[in-house]
Amino acid sequence: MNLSRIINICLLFTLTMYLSSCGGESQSEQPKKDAAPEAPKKSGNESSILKVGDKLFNLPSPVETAMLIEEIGGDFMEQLMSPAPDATKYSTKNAQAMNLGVYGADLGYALIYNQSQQAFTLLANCKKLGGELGISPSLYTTLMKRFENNMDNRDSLLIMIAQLNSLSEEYLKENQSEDISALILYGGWVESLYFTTQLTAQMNDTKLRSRVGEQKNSLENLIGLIDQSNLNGDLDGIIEDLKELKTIFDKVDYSYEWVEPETKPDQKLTIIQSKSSVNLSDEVLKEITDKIFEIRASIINTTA
Amino acid sequence: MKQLTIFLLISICAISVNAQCAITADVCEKHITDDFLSDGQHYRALLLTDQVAEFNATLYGGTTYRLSACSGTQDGNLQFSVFDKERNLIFRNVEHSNAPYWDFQLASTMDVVVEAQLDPIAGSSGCAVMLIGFKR
Repeated sequence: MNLSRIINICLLFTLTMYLSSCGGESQSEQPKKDAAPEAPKKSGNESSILKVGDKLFNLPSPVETAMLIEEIGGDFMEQLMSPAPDATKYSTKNAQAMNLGVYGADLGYALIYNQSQQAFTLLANCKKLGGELGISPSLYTTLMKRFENNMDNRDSLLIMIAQLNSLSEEYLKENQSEDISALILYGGWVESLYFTTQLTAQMNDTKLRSRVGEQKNSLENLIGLIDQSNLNGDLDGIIEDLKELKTIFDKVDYSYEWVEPETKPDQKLTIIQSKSSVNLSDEVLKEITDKIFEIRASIINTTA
Repeated sequence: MKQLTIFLLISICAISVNAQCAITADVCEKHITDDFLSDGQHYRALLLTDQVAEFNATLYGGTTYRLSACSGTQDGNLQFSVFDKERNLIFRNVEHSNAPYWDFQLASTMDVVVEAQLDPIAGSSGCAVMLIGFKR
């Protein structure tokens, strides 16, 4: 019996066990095929990676937002970054995970502006928090060595950070820590939106303003992501905050017009020509800015 | 005793499945080449052939994204389709020999839904992995 056959049998066994566990409390209840699209229910030591037919949610990379900020010509503003350089003050897993996300976004922002020394300090903080969360320290140690050797090469550093984020997320998922992974993404998303709202208030740039409004859908994805990880109600407070934010985002006008896309098979490329626009009033922008300020403060000031 | 056996079997299988997902992720990552930056997220789902994983994303205008989608140990095992939120079809990789990756260039920001399922020819179950990169 070769390895792939063993894995296939394991997959079928695991799926069967999983579907059985999704059926409800009764042990005798038959597995429901149509239960697959539902959010997974996890208990005990079941692996959180074992999601069947589940919904997956994407959040924009903090680096993507930092690149937009650079593109529109904003100056580097150190005061935008988290004022809490002492990572050791975060003592709980949730606080560590959220603030690892915050530091990750700060790291992307510092790198985009060639603040490599500052980025290196942030990376050291990420290593501390990542280590507390069980992410292999060797991931960071290896990266920090490469980082030191490429301090002047922004593009290489950005690739390294993207690789670090990708590897650490993969590591967490392989170790059944999807809840931690979700909280890291949450911290990163909040920090990125904090940057964008603060700079929009100062620069009044239309692209930045649109980017704030465009977070409407990302917020729904984020709520979905956190909700999937909220298996024992630990994250109720976060979900409540995000739902309050969603109530504000619901006031953002969004228009969309479908246009047939153009596909160029020789380039493996599809050009999506549909048009969309967001209309964000000053009042709604202020409400979003205030709420995200409040959420971000609760993350960086949380120590336990 | 029975519960312990089931627990051990699940644990062993979970490790095997994780191993398979890690191999698949490696296959997928090679398509996020250096001209793209990974968004740092790994999207995974365990699938049987009749199941579909739904993936929700916001793609920003003015950016080119690469979607890499894989299952198993080689390219072409995963079929994926991209729709807008109104379920207008944007792309299907089955029309392009199950291409393991595809680029999407956007004029405006839009929300998309990606549906992925195993190619029945490739097997009856598997770990599906999707990765996103954006052009630098």
